Amino acid sequence: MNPNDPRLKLITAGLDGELPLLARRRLKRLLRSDAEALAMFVALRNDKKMLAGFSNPVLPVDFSRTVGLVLAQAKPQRVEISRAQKSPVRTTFVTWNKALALSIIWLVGLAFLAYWIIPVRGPLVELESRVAESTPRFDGNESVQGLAPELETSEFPRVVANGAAPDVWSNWLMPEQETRAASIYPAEKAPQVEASGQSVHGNNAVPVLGAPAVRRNNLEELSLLLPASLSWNELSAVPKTMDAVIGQSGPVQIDLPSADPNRAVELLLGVLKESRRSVMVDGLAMDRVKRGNIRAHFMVLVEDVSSSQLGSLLESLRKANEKQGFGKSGQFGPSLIVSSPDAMRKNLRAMVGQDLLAETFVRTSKSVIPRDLEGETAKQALQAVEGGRPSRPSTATTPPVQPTVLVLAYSPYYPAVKSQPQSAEVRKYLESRASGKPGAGRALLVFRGWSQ
Amino acid sequence: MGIAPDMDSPGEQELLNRARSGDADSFCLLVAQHQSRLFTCVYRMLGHMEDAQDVVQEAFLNAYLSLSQFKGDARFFTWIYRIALNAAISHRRKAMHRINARMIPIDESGSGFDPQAAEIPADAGLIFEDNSRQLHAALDRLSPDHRAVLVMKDMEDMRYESMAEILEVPIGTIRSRLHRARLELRSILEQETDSGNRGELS
Repeated sequence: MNPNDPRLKLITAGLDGELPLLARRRLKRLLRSDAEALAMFVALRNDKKMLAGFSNPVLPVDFSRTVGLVLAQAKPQRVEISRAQKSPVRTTFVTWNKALALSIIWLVGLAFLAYWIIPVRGPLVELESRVAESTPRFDGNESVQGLAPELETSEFPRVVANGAAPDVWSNWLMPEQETRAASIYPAEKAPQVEASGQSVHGNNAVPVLGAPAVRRNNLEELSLLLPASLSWNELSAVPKTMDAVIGQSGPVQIDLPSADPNRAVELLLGVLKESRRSVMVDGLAMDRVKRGNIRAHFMVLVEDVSSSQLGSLLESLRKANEKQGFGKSGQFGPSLIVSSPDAMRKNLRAMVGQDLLAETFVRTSKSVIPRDLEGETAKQALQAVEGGRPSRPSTATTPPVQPTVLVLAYSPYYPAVKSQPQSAEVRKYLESRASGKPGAGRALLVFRGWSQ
Repeated sequence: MGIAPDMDSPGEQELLNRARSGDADSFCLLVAQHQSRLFTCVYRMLGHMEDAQDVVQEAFLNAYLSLSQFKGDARFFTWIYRIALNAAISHRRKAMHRINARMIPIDESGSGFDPQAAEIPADAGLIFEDNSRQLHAALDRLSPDHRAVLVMKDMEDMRYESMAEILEVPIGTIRSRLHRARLELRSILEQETDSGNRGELS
């Protein structure tokens, strides 16, 4: 049962005997008619009984005696201190001053160590700078053809250019969510993507989404952009170079730290709506998106996506971010393309009930992978998502690909609060899931909170 | 059960006044009045006798040193309970970083699960013990805030209003924390049961 389910609040208050008469009647009716609510009521009542069944511990000592002894010993000390302070030699004061100064120096030193000396930032800095150095910037004035030709023919800009973007909330697989979703993201609020062809991603689109402009290799500024949501282990797991990322044979994950993950996913839903992709939003995830005040982290699994489509999606997300007024100052932090860590895969498996990434991006031969990234563009980083296989060229005769997207939510603070494999949306998603198409892969986008 | 059954006894105010003026013996009499209940709560919060002993003693000493800050707008027990509970929550947070969450506290003091109180048939003793251990383990895995509300409501049987006063949060927050805590506890217990079943099968 979802923690925000109103039935649960009613059941809890009923168990605690804190319901007025009318609400008690409502609870009775609910328990008579709803088997799930009844099962939860019985289970919670049993837990409550068990908790109430713990007997009182035996008092190990008489605190009135021990506290009395401490206070009796402390009394003379106080007197001594007060007398010492009256003496002309102010040794105590000097000692305390020294101690205070030493403590401050010690704390400053520790802070310095934590932020500058310990080499946890190394991989990120190197990753960022490698992408920046190895990829020429697209400033909007030059031709896009040389940078990312496949993006020009991707589905997304064409659909918008033809004006064929009807109310695609109807593409959603859960009809009851349509109205909820539409209320969150009405059509008029959907980000308008330019059809001029300039919407293809610049080189910053993939590694940095709307992040503040930073001077590359400037450690001081870059450190401020480190996503706080990443744990020490995760940071250490970030490969030192982009080569290392692409050289991995495991699934690739795109980490999108965001100041407000709920809002970020809302933007993503709008972008997906525009790009006519089928979206399956888990009930908990939808609930979290709606409740801006309850932050959550999100996992977005995109099926059957080519690198160009993924690049287009990320670029649209960046643009939507800017259009919604976040600008370059940053809804999003620096994103990372990493080999999906085991913990994340395990988490996804727990939420879906099976390892959807098990057969994803398995490379048969490393020779397909470009070893040297120098002079290459960020699209090659995206091709890593496909496992190094060449993307299928998009032609006019190719039917439009509408990969399914699954949106799940979880709370790092309350482990029990996360999307469940039993949820209707996940079950439906698994039932409708088809085998992968050639030239396409799966991408795991992770939206996590970070403080600006 | 309220939180302060004998708070307003005429002796307490007198003892407080004397303690404020530096009479340690009067404060010790106050300690004697409240120690049992305070220790029970802290022990249930921490699940460890020695830690609970340290935290309670520390709380009493802190209360003595801060007596001048006690304005009398809340009951004395509420005030000292708040001090002890905050100390316990803080202790728990620190401990959660270093203690294996699955460790089951073994208590030799005789405290533990009471089948009579739970009204469960007495011929299921082994099941009680097993359930009790499971419950202990599950409680250890709860966040300190969730454990605190469960202790106060389900073990101490406090009213929402009293809990809100002690934790200094609105009643709505108490309700919300309670049902989240129960759901989290249920989820942990189900996980434990599932893993136990799998272990038996293999």
